[in-house]
Order: sequence, then C-alpha cells, then structure tokens
Amino acid sequence: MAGFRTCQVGPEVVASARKGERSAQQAIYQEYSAAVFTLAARIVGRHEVAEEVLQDTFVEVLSKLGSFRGEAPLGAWIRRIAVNKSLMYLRSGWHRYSRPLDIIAEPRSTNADLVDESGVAQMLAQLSPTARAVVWLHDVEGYTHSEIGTMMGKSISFSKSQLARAHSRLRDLLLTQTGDMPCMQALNNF
Amino acid sequence: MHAGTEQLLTIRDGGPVDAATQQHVAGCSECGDELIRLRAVRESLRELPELRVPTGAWERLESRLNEPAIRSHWWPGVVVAATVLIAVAIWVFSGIEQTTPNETAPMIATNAEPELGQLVSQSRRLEALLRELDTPRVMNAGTAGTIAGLQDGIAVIDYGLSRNGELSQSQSEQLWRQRVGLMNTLVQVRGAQLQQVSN
Repeated sequence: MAGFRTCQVGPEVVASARKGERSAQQAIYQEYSAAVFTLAARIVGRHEVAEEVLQDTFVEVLSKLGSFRGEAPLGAWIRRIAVNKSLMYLRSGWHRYSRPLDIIAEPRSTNADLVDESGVAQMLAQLSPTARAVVWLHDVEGYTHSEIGTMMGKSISFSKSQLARAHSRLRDLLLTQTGDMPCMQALNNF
Repeated sequence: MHAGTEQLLTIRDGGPVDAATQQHVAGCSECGDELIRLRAVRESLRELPELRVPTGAWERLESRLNEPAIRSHWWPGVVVAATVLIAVAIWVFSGIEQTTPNETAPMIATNAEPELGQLVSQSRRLEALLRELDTPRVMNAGTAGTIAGLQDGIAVIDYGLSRNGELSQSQSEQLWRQRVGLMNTLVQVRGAQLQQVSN
C-alpha cells in the first residue's frame, strides 16, 4: 500500500492552495485522497461513511492550510485530521444504529501461495469498530499505544489490550475460514 | 506456561518483556509459530491495496467548499444535538435517582394524553418508519451531528427504560413520551435530509 508516506506535494503548490487557488487545492486532494479514503474506510468499515470522512477531512485541511506551519510533513498533518474525523464518527452514536458493516470488496489475490489479502480485509471488517481502529492505527499506520490512547481518550493499556484481543479474534477467524485444515498448516499458509 | 498475545505482540514490536517470557518464547515452537503468524498478519495488513476514491468525490467536495459559510452549517446542528442530549440526560437521571417507585410522582399525564400502550406502539411505528428511510451516501456534517445527538438522546432514554423496576407508571409514561418526541424529530430530520438529497 502506498499510503501517506509516499505522497509528495511541493511547497509552491501548498502556498498556492493557501491563497485559495482551486487547482492547487485539487492537486493536494488528488495526491492524498486515496490514502485518506483508505484509512477512513478501514477504520469506519463503510464506504459511504468513509467518503463523508474524506470530505470532512479535506474541508478542514483546505480551510486550515493557513495554520499549517510545515514543521511536520503535510501528509502527517492530513493523516492526523483524517484519523480524528474517523474516530469522531466512531464516538458518535451514529454507527451504533447503522446497518451492519459493508464488507469492503478487494481484488482477489491471483497467486494462491501468497497471503490472501482480500481475506485479511474481510477479517478486519469483522472486528468491532474500536478493535479495528486500534489494529489499523498501530499495525499499519505505526502509531504507538500512547498516541492511540491519547487520540481515543483512553489509556495505553486500553490500546494494548484492544490490539491483543483483536489479534486473538483474527486468529479465530482465520481458523474458521480454513475450516478443518490442521492448525499449523493454516498458519503456514498464512 | 505459554506467552499471551499481548506479550507476543510486545516482542513482535520490539518492546520490553521480562527475561523469563523471552526465554520461553525462544524455546517454544508453539509461541514461535504464533509470533510468526502475528508478524504475517501485520505484513498482510500493510500490503493491502489502496482503495479507489468514489467517482465524483472531488466534485462533491468542491460544491461543499463553494458553500458560503461551512461553519454556519456545523454549529446549529451540533448545538441542537448537544442541547437535546444534555436535556434528556438531566431529565432521565434526575427523574430516576431522586424518586423512588413508591413516591407519588406528579400526575403529568391527563386523560387527553396517550397512555403507555399507545406511546409504545407509536414509538414502534416510528422505528419501523425510520428503518424504511434510506441513508444517503453522503450527508452534511451538521445534519450528522444532529442525528447523532438525537440517537444518543434516545439511547439515554432507553437506558432509563431498561431500569423498568425502578420506575413508576407516570415516570415510564414520561420516558416513552420523550422517546416518541425524539423519534418524531429524528424522522423529520431524516425526511428533510432525504428531500435535500433528492433536490
């Protein structure tokens, strides 16, 4: 996955976007939108909500670009806003009343010897929203337990125990998926 | 004794674990396999492909950016949602904590007001109606805030109603009346939202 780290926007584009130049704003959007959408979709679990998070994120990014001082990379700043927007959604009562999670469709892996990526995505989508967010933020985005605890308004040990529980659940889901396959063979295939 | 998942994750991430656990994991094939699996899961999550942004997302964002004052859309919704939630929470919790079931609650209900059974069935009808309303693909953040506030208010009432044994008849009726009121508002907000989307 390309993610935020590989995105690059020149300082002149940022400067133009700050002045409200729509083409420069669009350039920033083009560069980061897929990373923001992916992060949001993995955390919130639903495509339509992920687009809502994408829009809210860029409304904030583009309206607050003037306050971005460039001390941290632009991608890290955008990512933080996207994470906050996604967690805000999870904190609201809205998701508790919404339809069950959409299983995010992934292209199937063509090489049977490799890890079945679509299977991993589907297992991730079956975790509870909080567990899914912790797994994604820690294992993929590389946030520390301390940072995750702060962002979620919880403790470090909350983040650690959520991650451990999530991985235990992922192991159970993997074993269910592989059916009668002996445990070690399933692990080796993984 | 085998290492727990939390300890194995700490080892996987290069964090500190006690010497005894480290020594056990180094010599235990079961823990070793689990550690390999945890690393493999992390790798496969990182290798998941980026998702494609829905078509027309930039155009939808641009139309939001062109709105004259985005903030003015946000705050009324948030304020309404917060007010509803705070009012309901204060009402539910003060009502339950301060009166016992044996106390004679003030008779708010009159003959003209619907009785408990009617309120419950009204509430169910509104629930059914809400289920039939489609959720739009994208919604205004202010509307989402209002809806979330109303839903949280309903959740607080449901919590109050779940303590059924502690409620007098009139307190139950008041809670159900509040619930019907909030559900009504929610239906109206959702209806207005769908109308906005269709226009």
